[in-house]
Amino acid sequence: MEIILAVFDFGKHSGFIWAAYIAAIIVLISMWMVSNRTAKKAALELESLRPARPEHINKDAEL
Amino acid sequence: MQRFANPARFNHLADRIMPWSNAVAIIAFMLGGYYSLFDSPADYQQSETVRIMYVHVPAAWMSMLCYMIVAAASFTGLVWKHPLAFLTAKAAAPIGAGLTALALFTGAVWGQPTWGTWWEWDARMTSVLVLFFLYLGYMAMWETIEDHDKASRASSILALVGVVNIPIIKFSVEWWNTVHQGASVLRVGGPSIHEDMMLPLLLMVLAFHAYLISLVLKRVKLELTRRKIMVLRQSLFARKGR
Repeated sequence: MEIILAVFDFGKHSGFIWAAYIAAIIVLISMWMVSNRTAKKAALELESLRPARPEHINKDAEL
Repeated sequence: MQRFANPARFNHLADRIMPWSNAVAIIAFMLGGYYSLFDSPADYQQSETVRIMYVHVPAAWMSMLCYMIVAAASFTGLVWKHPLAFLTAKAAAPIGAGLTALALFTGAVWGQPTWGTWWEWDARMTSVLVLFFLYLGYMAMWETIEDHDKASRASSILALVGVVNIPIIKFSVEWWNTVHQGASVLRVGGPSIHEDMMLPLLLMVLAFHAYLISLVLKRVKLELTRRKIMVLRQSLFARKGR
């Protein structure tokens, strides 16, 4: 256990270094997860609306 | 270029790029993380705190790159009136805001042990804070203006006005006396940073680039889906009204 802790110990500034890296991990992963979740929700909503749509509408012409 | 402005072609292209950019991001983050934390040397002045550079510098660079994407897409949208350009700008803005917040936080955490202060109102830090507010203002415009066309035009003008801040951020350390150190990688005369520190920095920059590409593509696809939902809702509403 002490050997593992020693690997992650950067002396008196350990707290600052880990705070920066943990913040980076939190920001990057949370942006990824929020985008993923929102994309899935939007895809489900689009699917639920699609059956009600007239068939002659061109997919690409929606924009 | 115009060819990929077609939403269906864009989706197809994004689906082909994203697995590769995801893989590059994961591998580069793992390698870069290892080298940054365990294999790179400590600095003779800053000691171990120099390791914060490997997350701070890529986050700061990507925050500016992301703003350039927002500004370039806004310009394309205003000039060529293509909705995909506006959606690209809209999709990139929250990522830029997140990366700017990360750059500001890691900068403060690096500043305390190095300069003895979390924050200083010097040109570099203040201009990066202005960049963060520009992102917030841009996103607020999209949220508050209901009409899609008006929102896209107003937010694009703000994005284009704000682009003047990018050279200010870059050259602030040369134009004014700042607490922040001068450029040590992208500078005239080549990088002044040792190669043992350059490798992890480049790996982390590569990882952040790949991450940015993946996330921007993912969010543009999301914005396209949202736009389709909006159009479908409007057509359903119009049919019910008839």
